[in-house]
Amino acid sequence: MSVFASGSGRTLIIGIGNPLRGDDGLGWAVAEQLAQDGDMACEIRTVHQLTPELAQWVAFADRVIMIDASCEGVPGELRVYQLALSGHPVSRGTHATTPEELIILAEYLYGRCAPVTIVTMTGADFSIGERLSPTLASKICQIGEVVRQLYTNVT
Amino acid sequence: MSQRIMIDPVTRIEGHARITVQLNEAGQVEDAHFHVTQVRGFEKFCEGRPFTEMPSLMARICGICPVSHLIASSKACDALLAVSIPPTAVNLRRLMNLAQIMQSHALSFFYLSAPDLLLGMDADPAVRNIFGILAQHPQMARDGIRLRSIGQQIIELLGGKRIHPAWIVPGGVSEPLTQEKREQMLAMLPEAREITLRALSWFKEILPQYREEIASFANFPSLFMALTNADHELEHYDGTWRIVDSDGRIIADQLDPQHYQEYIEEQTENWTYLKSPFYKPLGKKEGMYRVGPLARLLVSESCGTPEADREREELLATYKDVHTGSFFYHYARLIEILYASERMEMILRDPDILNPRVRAHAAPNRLEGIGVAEAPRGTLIHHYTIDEQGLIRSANLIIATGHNNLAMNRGVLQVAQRFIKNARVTDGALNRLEAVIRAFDPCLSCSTHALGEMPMYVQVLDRAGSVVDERIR
Repeated sequence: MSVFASGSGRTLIIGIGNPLRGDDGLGWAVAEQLAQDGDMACEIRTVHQLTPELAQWVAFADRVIMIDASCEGVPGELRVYQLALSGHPVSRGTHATTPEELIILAEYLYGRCAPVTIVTMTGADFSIGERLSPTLASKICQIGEVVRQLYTNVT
Repeated sequence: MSQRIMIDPVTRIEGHARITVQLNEAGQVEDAHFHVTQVRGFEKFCEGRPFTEMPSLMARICGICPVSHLIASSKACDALLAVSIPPTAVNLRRLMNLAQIMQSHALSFFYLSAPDLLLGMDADPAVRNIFGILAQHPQMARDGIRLRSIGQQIIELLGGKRIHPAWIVPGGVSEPLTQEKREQMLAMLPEAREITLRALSWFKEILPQYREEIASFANFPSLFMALTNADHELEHYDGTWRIVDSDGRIIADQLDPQHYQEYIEEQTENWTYLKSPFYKPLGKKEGMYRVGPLARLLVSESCGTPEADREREELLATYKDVHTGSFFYHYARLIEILYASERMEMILRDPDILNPRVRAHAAPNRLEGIGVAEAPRGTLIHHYTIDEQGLIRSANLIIATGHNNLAMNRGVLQVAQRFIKNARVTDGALNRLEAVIRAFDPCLSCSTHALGEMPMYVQVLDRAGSVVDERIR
C-alpha cells in the first residue's frame, strides 16, 4: 500500500490548517508555494486537520514535515522541532488527531513511523478570511526555505 | 416531584446536540427530547448569490458528506438550466456519491460505533474510541482506516480533492475520467470488498450479544422512505420515492421528488433547530418515517449487485426485528459499503465511462429547481428559486438527519425508559442514550446547517428546575 506517487520520493510534506481562517491557512500557503516551486522530489499534501487515515502516509514515508500555524507565542515566531514517540494516545474525537496521536497510530497499526518534524509559526489573526496577516504573508518564503533545508539534510 | 435529565452534548456524532429526559413524580421516565442546539443559516445567506455558486456553497455545509450536497445542489441547478445532463456525467456523479457513501459509512461504523460494539456499551469511556480499538483489535482499526481512505482516494481521483471537490457542477461534471484514474480506482475496490466482508462476518457474529440494544434502540413500527429505481432496486442518485411500513406494506410508490411538498410536511419545534418532517397524508403521528441505509434496504426489492443481495437476503431472513429496529442501521451500513464497491466496479467497467462529453451548457431556463439524491444518511432535498438574473431568491433544504428526527426522539425515549433507573444516569445508560442516536449516524452540521463539537452533559432536574443529578463528559 503506497500513498506516494511514482517518482515523488518518500518525503511527505503536510500543510495543515483552514485557509478560510486567516493565518490558520499558513500551512496551506507554504505547502502550495513549495508545490509550485517543484524543486523537491516529495509528496506535498494539504489538510484541514490531521485525521486517523493519515497514519498510512506517516507510516510509509521516510520522513514527514508538518507545517502549521500556532497560536502560542509572538506573531511571526518560528519553531522547528522533532516529534518524539511516547506514551499511549487519548482520543479527543474523530475530527481532530494530534501529531503525537498520529505517529502512535502509525507505529501501532503498521509497525513503523517516519521521523516527523513540525514547523510552526505563530499567527497574528485567525479571524474569518482568505488572506494571511501581513506578518505571516511575508514569511512564506522563509518557512519554505526551512522546509527545503530539512528536506535537503535527509536526502 | 418530577425530574429532568439532560445530556449535553451528545458525543461521537457529527454536530452538536443534547438530550433531556423528563421524569415523573415516581422517578420514571415520562418523556425525552433530542435537541439540536445550533444554527448556521445556509438557507438564508445564499439568498442573492448567483445560482451557479450553489453547489460549492452548499458543499460547505458539511466536511463529511459534501458530495451529497454537491449532487443534490447540482441536480437542482440542472433543473434551473432545464438540461438533461450527459449519461457519462450521471455515472461519474454516481461514482463519487458511492465513494462518499463508502467513506462516510466507514467513518460511522469503524470510528464512531465500533468502539461501542467492540468494547461494550459499559466500557470505560476513556478507552471507548478508535484508540481503544487500536489497542484491542488492531486489524479492525487498520480496516476502518483503510476503507475510509479508499473512499476518500476515489473522491480525490475524481474531484481533485477529498473534501469539497468542485468537480460536480451544474450541467454535469467539469472533467472527464482518464484511463489511468479508472485503473487506479479499480485496483482499490477488491480490497474494499474484502475489508467489508470481514467486518460483516465479525458483526454477524457479535450481533446476538446485543439483544437488549436491538430491542430498545428505536425499535418500533414506522414508515421507511427511500428512492428506488424503475426495477425497485437500491438507488442513490435518481428514481422515485417508495414508502413502506414495518409490515413491509407499500404505503406509497413512485412518488416524484419534484413534488415533495405534497408528501412531506416540515414541522418546527421550539426546543430544537432540527425540523421534524413527516409523511403529510398520514399526519405527524402515523406519518413518522425513517430514511438512510436501513430504509433503503427495506424499501428496495433488491440491491442489484450479487454480494450485497446475498447479505441483504440473509439480514431479512435472520432478523424479524429488522423492520422495526434501528440497531440494524449498522448492519445496513456495511451492506451498503459492499454494494458501493460492487456498483462502482460495474460503473468503472462500462467503456462509456471514459466518454469526454460530460457537461451540458445552458443559461437558466426555469426559475425553480429541485434536486434530490440519497446521501449516506438518507434522502436529501435541495429546492431553489431564482430571479431573472439567476440570483437565488429562496433555498429550502431537507436533510437526511431531519427526516429521522421524530424517530430519533422516540428512540431516545425508548432507551431512557429501558436503562435509566431510580433517576440516576449510569455510564452505561449515558452511552446507550448516545448510541441510539449514533445508530442513525446523524449529521447535525448538515441538518441544522450547525457548527461545533459535541461534548456531553446530563442533568436530572425536578419539576421546579432544580438539579438533582448531573453528569458531564
